[in-house]
Amino acid sequence: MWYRIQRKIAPYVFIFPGVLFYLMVTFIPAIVGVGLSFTNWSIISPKFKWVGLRNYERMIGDELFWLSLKNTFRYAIWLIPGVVIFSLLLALLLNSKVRGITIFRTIYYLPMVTPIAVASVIWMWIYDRRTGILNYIIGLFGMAPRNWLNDPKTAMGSIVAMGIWLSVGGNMIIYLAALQGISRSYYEAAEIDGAGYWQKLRYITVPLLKPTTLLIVITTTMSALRAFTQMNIMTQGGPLNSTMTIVFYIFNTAFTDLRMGYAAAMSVGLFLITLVITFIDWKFLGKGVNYDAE
Amino acid sequence: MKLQKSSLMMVLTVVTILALSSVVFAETTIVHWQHHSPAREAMVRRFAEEFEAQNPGVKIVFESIPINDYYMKLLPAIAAGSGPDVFQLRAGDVPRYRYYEVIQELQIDHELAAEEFIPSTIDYLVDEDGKFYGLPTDVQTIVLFYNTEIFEEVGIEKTPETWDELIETALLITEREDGVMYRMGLAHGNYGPVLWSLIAQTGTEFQDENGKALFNNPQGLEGFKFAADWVVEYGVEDPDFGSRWTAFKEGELGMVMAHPAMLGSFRSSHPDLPIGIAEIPARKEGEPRTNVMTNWAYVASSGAKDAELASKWIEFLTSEEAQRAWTLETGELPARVNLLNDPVLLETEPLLAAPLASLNSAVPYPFEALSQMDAAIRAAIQKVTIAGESVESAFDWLADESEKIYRDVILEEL
Repeated sequence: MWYRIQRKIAPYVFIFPGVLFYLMVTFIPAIVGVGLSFTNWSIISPKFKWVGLRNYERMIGDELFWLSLKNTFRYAIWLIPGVVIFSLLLALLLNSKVRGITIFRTIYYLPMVTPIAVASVIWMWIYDRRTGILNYIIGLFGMAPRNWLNDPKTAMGSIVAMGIWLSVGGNMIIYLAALQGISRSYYEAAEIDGAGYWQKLRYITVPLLKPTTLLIVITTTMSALRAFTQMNIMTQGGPLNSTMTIVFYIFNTAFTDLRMGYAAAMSVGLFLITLVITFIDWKFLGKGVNYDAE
Repeated sequence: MKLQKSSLMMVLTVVTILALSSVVFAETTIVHWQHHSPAREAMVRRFAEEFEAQNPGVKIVFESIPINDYYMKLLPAIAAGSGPDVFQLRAGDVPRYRYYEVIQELQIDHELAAEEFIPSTIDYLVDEDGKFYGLPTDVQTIVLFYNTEIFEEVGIEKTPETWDELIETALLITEREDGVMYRMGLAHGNYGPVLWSLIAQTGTEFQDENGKALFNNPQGLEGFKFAADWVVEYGVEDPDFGSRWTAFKEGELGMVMAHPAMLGSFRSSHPDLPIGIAEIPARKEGEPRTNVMTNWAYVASSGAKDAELASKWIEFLTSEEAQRAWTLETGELPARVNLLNDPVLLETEPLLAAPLASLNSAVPYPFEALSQMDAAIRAAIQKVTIAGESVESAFDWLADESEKIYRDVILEEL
């Protein structure tokens, strides 16, 4: 009898510390954040007032909120396909048995372990108008140097390029693991039927990588919607707010303007948007996903 | 039984001695936070040692935090009640922190302090009754850095004293080939305090007590247009030229308006750079060389355990000796009247003459919301220089934006 009770209780006892930790650092602060979004709390003061839906009304009429949201989507729309395509290409290239393949895998993985702040500084050197290597290279083709991060037309693209460079290594490893999980027998059967490289890629590899692609799309979407550090270091949201992302705007509102209540309201807005996008990802990209690669 | 009694006595004696010694040798700690720079950190550590030596039983627990993380760490700590006893704030932030009762009135001789500090450095630090809530540090004016070799090369013998002379000089320096700039004459880098300085030189007012923009008038517009014209009309500054600091260090920029503290940065990376420093030119001959000052303040938290000691430490950090050392080692200007013509400073670093003189014509930053107004004027000037908007519409936008910032940032919370 006691043994049965123990068996029933034991799993809950084991997960209790984890659940408690999650409640403390994620769930409860999130609920508190929702509560704060209905106040005018300034973060430094114990005094605050209940303002009802005023922060949400302001959010709807705030041009910079919508612009920063638009910029965030622009960033995500370029980043996600870039990360998926380049990660897959690299994984396909590195999924072969050639000498020194581990060295290549390590090289491509390195950006993943580079702190984003350090990467931002490195890319600022690359983009430097006079001493940057990018302008040197385009100069070899007779093109005039550009100030990549100070032109509204090129600033966001320049940050996206860095974002792809940063994310490709880690996602390449995920693709590589998935590729190695695909049974050889599918390819052998296709070869017997006379399938070439492209046909095998199109009809076997890509469909069987769908769960992995879904995972990468969802995680990259979430990280794109939270883009902050690179904008903070490289452009400060400029020029002309062209790289102002939603998290950067929320950060400024909370820690520079001391409007924590309004920042909390925008965070709730961002949470809802992320939820909807993740649902759409899941609903549409998840269609026909086959988790059985064996 | 006797043994037990004597043991008990011994234990009691030891406990009493320990308790007394903990009272006698108790350390009072002051937790001090400020934003980081290597020179600044070394200075404060040295000051802390000196202060501890002068005040036995006092321990300064110092933390130097990178500027990008500073407010992100300070604000939650204050909210959680675990903030430092003494910390640095931007001068413009002091009235709001005072309103929220996050900081407290300093326990100093307020009348004496009002005489000893340069008025523009304490504008935001005193309340209506003249009581100090912070003492000034890290004072920055705007001065004109120039490359003496370039001046010599193009035959310029004296530094420009008016806006017209500034543009004439910049045009002589600027070099282009096939439309591409190779040497830039002059740069403001869209930096807020420089742009506001040019507007302030026209004599305009900035904002009334209700946050209404007062600078949107022909005078203010003249200053704003002059700054935009460096790029669009005279072509002496090119926004695509890249970092103005790199350009100046590489001898590809003749003149740059900046904070005097840049001297330390130039000297540390390019010790042989031929630098000259002048006060920024006046709008017209005979007019003042007005420039906008920014500074920080040392404040004592409302929760400081020993308010008197915290004030004493702040006084120590802003004393005449400390500010002299501060200026010589970090390039930050002093806030004390006595140091304006200090012979030690001028003999040790002759280039400090113009920065010290610039303190006489400095006015406080015209808005409480410094970061937001810096960002706003940067965006306004970029609307003209990058997006091709007219100066009038960009300036109108800036005036509206300043009122919105006042409503959202200052008024909303108060």
